[in-house]
Amino acid sequence: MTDRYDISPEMGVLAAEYVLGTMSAETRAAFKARLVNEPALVEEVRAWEAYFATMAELEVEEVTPPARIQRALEAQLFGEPAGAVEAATQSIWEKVSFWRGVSLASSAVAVVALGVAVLPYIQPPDPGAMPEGLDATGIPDGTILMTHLIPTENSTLGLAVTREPSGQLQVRRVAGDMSDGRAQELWLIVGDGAPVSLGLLGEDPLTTIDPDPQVARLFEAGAVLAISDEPAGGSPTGAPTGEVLALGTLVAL
Amino acid sequence: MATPQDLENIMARIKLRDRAAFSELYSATSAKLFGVALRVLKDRAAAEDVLQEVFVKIWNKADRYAVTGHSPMTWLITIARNTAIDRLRASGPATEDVDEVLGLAAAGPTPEQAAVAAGEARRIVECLGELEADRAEAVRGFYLEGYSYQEVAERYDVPLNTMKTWLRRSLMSLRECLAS
Repeated sequence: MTDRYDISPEMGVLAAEYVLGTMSAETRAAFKARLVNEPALVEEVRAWEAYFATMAELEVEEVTPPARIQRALEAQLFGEPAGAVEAATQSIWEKVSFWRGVSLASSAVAVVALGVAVLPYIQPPDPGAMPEGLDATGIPDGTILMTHLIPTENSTLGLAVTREPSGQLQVRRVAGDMSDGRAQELWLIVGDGAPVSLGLLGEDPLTTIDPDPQVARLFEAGAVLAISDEPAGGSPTGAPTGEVLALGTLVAL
Repeated sequence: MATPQDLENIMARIKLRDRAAFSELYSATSAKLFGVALRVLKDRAAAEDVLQEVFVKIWNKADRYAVTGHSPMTWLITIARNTAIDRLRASGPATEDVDEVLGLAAAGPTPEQAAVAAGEARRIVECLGELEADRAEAVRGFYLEGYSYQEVAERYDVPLNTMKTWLRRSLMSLRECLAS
């Protein structure tokens, strides 16, 4: 086999059995221990690996794997779009975790910058509609949640959002515009939960949204609001499918 | 068809984290590696899983390739075969790459010392041809089908110890033939 090192035929055969994987666990462990200190044995193992792999290369028929394997592989390694909704959803999550940090850092600034602007929209809660001391969502009476959605990397969209004690959302576009033939969808992301659609933004600068009570209950300080780019009519899947355009974290006023 | 030199260049680029090179490697080698995984596992879904796992290993361990002194195809097929065999043997990994055993600081051969020159490695087929046919098939079975001694002994209807002796004598003959 190889004359480069002095290997007994018995050790050469052991090396082949090691490559084939036919040894008992004890023999294998003992052989592995010798490998660490014996380069000649390593060489012998590699020679057998090369011989057997070459045998397989010459004798095994090629079989073209399904194309989805490569897509799944690249999505797994590089997080690139696999041409499917799952990939787009994954990318929104990556962006959410990134922008969540940015948004937290900027939220104090946003509160100062927008505090005055949102005041005109604040309306007193309807006391008859909710229990004493709490509003419909369990948030202390009269609490207003707000955030400034800041644009992501390739976007110019900026919005100010307030959530009134009644549960109503006021979404005001302060920068950027709609794209022709596309929709902008607002999402609520609480903790590690999946994004929940709150609805589509209108053409006008101000959009008012009244979420269903079970959705309104999810709002809390620290939750993230995000806008995604979607086909006209909104996400066809119920999860974000397009780019995240703007993102912000809710704070209590 | 990628030449061995093409594959060497691709491996060098993959080591530098070149994704386009990784895609090229997949195009050039996935059919062969899928064939190996299918041969071992005989189950398409399992072989698809293994193929994906194999290419993840290739990407993650590309910096270890040069140390082995293997040709690209030997390195790739060894990973594919061992990953498939490990999947086949549910009891746990029974094979591992020498590099994992040795770690990074091991005194292995330098990259310039190819384990076996590619042309020389092809002699395995010729040398297998010099064995009795059933013994050559058994050797192939141990490598490509993940046979255990027990399975091969039953298949050829010989006692277990006889089977072990068969294999050792076959490997000894192979080794002599390859060295000549």
